[in-house]
Amino acid sequence: MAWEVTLGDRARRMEVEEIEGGYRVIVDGEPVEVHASFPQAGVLRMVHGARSYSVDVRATADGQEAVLGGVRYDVGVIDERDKALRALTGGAGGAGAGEVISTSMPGKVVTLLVEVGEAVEAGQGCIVIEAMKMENELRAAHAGVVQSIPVAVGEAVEGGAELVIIAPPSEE
Amino acid sequence: MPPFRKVLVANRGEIALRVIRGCRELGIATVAVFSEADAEALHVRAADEAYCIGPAPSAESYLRQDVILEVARTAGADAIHPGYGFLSENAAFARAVADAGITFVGPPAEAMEVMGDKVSARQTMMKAGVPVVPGTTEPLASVEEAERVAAEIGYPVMLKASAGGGGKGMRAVMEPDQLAPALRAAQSEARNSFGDDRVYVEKLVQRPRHVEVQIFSDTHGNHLHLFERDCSIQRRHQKLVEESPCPVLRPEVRDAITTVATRAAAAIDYVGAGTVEFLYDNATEDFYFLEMNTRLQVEHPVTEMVTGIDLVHAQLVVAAGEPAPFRQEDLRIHGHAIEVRICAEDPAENFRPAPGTIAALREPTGPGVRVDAAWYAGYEVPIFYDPMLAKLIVWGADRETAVRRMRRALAEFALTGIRHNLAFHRAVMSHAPFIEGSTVDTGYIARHFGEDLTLDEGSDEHRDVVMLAAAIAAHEERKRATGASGGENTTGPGNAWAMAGRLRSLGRTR
Repeated sequence: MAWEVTLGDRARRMEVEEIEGGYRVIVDGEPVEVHASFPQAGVLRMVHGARSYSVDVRATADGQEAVLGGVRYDVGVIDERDKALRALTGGAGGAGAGEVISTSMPGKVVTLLVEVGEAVEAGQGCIVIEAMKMENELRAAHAGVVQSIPVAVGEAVEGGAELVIIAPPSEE
Repeated sequence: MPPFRKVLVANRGEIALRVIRGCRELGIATVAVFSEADAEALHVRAADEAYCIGPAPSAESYLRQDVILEVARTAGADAIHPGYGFLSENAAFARAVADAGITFVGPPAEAMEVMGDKVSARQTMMKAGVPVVPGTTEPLASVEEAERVAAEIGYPVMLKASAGGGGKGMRAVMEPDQLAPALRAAQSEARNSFGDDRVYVEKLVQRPRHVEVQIFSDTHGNHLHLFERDCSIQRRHQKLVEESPCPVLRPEVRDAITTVATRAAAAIDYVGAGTVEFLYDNATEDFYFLEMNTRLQVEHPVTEMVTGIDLVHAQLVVAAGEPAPFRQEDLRIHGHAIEVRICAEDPAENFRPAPGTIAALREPTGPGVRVDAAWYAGYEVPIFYDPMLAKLIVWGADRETAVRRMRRALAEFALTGIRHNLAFHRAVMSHAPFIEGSTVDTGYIARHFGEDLTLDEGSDEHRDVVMLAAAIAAHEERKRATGASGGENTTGPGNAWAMAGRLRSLGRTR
């Protein structure tokens, strides 16, 4: 099975095979052999060349969160087949596809700065969420029209909750 | 004989656990209180008894004096330790506890009241001969008075709310024509934040260090000190890094500032652990009284590390009426200690609070390392409380060793699942102006962060490694998810190697 692995502006195709004491990873056609194992859940120890590494890994929605040397990396990992499927179904587009403002953290809705039907500019503040005694204003990334607001002021929301749904600007 | 039979700890998080540990070491039974959001918190699990005191918001649980007192009576606690924050500096609570025949582990209510109001604190300190920043002691009655006083003490000046704290109701004024609007803004902010619009004016000490003295008093008239801490690394008046001793204080200045601090404690008949905070002028070596905190501080461990004194033990002993368990002449500064506050705040996103569930957690250990925390892998950080999760404290024979040790300890930390500020601390500990130390002041973060103080974005070598690691992790996960169809690798990651080892030992090859 082949994986499309991305990190920042890097993209690699990787095939993983198990070998004695580790893995052979074919990176863009070039085989790389590493001694590696998971001595405890979520920790990959790896010897590559003579260099020794301990990487904390955790699955995320679209790949792996990896921590090495105190630095956190969001690595995208998708199966090539899934990628092909995603391409067929259209997937998420850029501007013109609309936008959902959601919260990464649980909190409470403090203020709504927009109303349904209102036109918003890119960068405009739409909603204020409070968590841990701090207020955070969440903004629209693209211009558009507020289509719906599934939450109310005072409501407690979970991490990942959809707060403001913005449709692409109408083409009048 | 333990100083008490049973202590109720009226707090949560790392400080509740810290106090419980101190009690246990002295053979004192402990009672935890917790909100509905904290049922699975570590302080609850660590205590001998635990009582739910209400819903998650602090106002309905950790600030409920009546409920906490009722629990203390029910449990038969003979003392209440308030920790820091919550009810720790609430004079009415200290009185109610005493009236119930229970010992409040802290100073008398009167001492709290004097220090709780900035104007009365300032007046009392001036009377005791403690240097204060030049300015008024009376709240300003008018713009005209503000202009007159500001002209007398000289610009720049600082307007401050009498009832203030946390930077609210504070305004720096650089020029005379900014004074009137700044006064109106400070008064309105003070009214909105504290319901009290009294504002006074002080000379603005430019680029000050925050230097504070740990004082310790008993009921026998002993007013001692455990030297100073430097807490100049602050963001919006919230301390992030603290150390002891202060890296720039000359011995003569240390003698002066600690003597003044014990005089402050004596002036209010203080009892227990307290902290007298000063602004220290790097250029002139002058210091000015800022405020006094009438409780144990968050950063007390650095003092414990350099003096060898357990402040919680000492608090309990003097609360029971015993003399302080050490004499001034026995105390000295041994080596250097640094603490960093680990907060659920993302420095890459302007320190946005980031609650969530801790996935992996591996704390640093080894020589000279202490972690005060109340967390575990799987712990869900509640949204209702302060974002500070833990404190990492290191000790070294000198400051340079301590800084190197902190870098080492930070690199050992594994903390995933939530965003946090460990990367910020790693940056500070490698930043030349912090390491050199002499130019550090309370504007350090505002001046350097995002400029020459930046977060490590990793190396190309590490990017190669984590991409390989991510592919391998995805491979193992897929194997598990597809129901171990391979047959031999049925029990999760790592099993392939166990299998390889077994095959090897059997002299077989695949």
